Amino acid sequence: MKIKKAEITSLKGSLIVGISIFIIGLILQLIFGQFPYTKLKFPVNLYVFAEVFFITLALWFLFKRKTFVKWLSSANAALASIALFTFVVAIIAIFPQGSTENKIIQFLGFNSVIYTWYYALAVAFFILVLGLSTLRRITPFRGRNIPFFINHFGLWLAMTTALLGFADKQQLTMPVHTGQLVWFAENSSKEIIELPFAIKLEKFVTEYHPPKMAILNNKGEAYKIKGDQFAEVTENKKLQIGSYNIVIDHYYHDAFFIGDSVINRPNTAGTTVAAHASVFNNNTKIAEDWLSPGNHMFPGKYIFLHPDSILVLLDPEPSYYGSEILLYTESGIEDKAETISVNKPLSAEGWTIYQHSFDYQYGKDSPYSVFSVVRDPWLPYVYSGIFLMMVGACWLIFAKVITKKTSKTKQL
Amino acid sequence: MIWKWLLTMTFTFIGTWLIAGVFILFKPKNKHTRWISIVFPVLGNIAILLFLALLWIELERPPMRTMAETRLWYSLFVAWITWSIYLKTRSAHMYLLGFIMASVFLIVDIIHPEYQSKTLMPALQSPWFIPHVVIYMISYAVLAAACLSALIGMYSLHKKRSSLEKEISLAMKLVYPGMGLLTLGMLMGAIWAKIAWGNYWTYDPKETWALLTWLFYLITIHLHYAHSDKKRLLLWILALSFIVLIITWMGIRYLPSGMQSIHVYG
Repeated sequence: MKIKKAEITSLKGSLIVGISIFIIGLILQLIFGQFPYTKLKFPVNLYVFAEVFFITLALWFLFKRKTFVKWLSSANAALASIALFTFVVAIIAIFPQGSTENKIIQFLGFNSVIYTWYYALAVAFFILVLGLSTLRRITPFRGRNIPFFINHFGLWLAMTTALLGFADKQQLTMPVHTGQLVWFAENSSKEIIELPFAIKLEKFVTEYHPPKMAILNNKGEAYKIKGDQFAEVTENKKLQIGSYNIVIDHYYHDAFFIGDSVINRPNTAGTTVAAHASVFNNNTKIAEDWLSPGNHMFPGKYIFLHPDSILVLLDPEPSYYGSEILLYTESGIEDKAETISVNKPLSAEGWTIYQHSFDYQYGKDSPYSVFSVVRDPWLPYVYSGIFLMMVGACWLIFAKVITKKTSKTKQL
Repeated sequence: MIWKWLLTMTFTFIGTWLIAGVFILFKPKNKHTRWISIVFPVLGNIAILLFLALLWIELERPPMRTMAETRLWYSLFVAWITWSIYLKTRSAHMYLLGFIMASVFLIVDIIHPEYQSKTLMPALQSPWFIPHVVIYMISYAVLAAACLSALIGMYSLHKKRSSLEKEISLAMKLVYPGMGLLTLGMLMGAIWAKIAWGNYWTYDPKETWALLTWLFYLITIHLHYAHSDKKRLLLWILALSFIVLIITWMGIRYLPSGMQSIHVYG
């Protein structure tokens, strides 16, 4: 079939190509079900990467005069591939991802788009067009096309390696009790995987923000009222929530209850936060008592303002949590003291160890700490692509607006 | 309590911009009064800046966590950017629309003063927090100005007054830096997510919508590059892209897919 030049340079042509690829992807999806992503493990993904790389090069250098390749490297093909990818991302954006009862959505794969054939095809088309248009710009090489190259090749590298590295990525959960030495972790199918390092948890540390005060209804929901609803409670603080004035004369960050008395005992297991409050309504004192959210040792303490509303201290929110550990590795590191906390992971033997969670019921007395351990061998390549894109983005901030008419590069 | 000054600050902003606006609209012949139209908006902008600075000091953390706080930054950047564009182009439309947009977001804060807490969850305690939010807010403000230029273009089209050359050229001059900043903000978010959770990309609803916004502006740039003659289409894409941006910023919590997002805050 002879394709007319007018057709392929039009937006309509681009749209038709994009829609066709989506329909092909959808048909493949309906026939084969999920795209076999997990089969793209090392070394298969490396072969695929090499194929993508060399096929793109071959297409360009052997067939660049063919209309087909010319089109694939053009801005119209770029529009077709971006529009198609945008459409697929829009499906992810609109339909909640994860399991669903809806049979039609399940059948179309709209609830797990990244495992569908049309996602795979859209991405493959995107990467092919991106690769070819990069080659088109850099052959022959001109200095003024460097920013274009950085932007487009950066995106190509980041996307290709992120997608092909996906199946090689391992993310495991590793709970460790205080005093225990652990050298294995669990994957999402609950299989135990041995690691090339071991962790001994010396101490789990949490710090908390002061608790917040609120008035709740009998369902435990907070009222929407003016004033200091949800204000933080500290020593000698005066708060006003709705028509109530509350005076806090004592605040203990580490309160311990013995009978009716309350004492502050820092660095003690089992303590919780507590505040002594007097409540006034129209300048009349209506109540005075201790408030506490309670914990695994002590029940909570509230003040009834009304049969339907109680004044409470909410559970304090953590401001920090981290684990003091000793690290042992196969390559010979022994009992090296390290601290792992949120936003401060630790690297060992090609793995990265993240502070994940702890026993929320026990809070600061949590008997264990949960780590998330991740191995992502393709990460350096993804980061290289991201780095190039960031450099390209900085250029874009100061770049001159260009159009095909203003650009001197030869176009289709 | 700095928040008690929100109303005063908003009135200062609206007042100064209105006074200058009168001078811009009626263009008095007396040259000695021209400085008013330039200096007064600056006073309004400084009022927002001062408010944010004091809020930062009072909260003892960057005021960038809640929606109400991000709206303040947005108003600040929209005000500064549209004022700069006005200085350069003398477009009264841009001044007016920028003024309306910045004021609307300040007024929304007065109506919805979300509770102000000092708490900052551990995941947000990161050197990436400030650049990620500030770069995004500047980019949103720049792209808002691009959208305003497109709206002015649509208005001219409706009145059959212009060739749209000026409006599209200005919009694209804003889309390029806006897109650069959008890219930086998104990639910084990805690196931060990797450090905090071990994943740089998980198609979390906010991430998905941020990507969608980015892709819409990518279409805008490529469409303008290849088909700069399709002006009407460009105007529509510019407006649509900004709608997607606004959903990304404010609408996620209302979407069926947004329920489990790690980004629903405030």
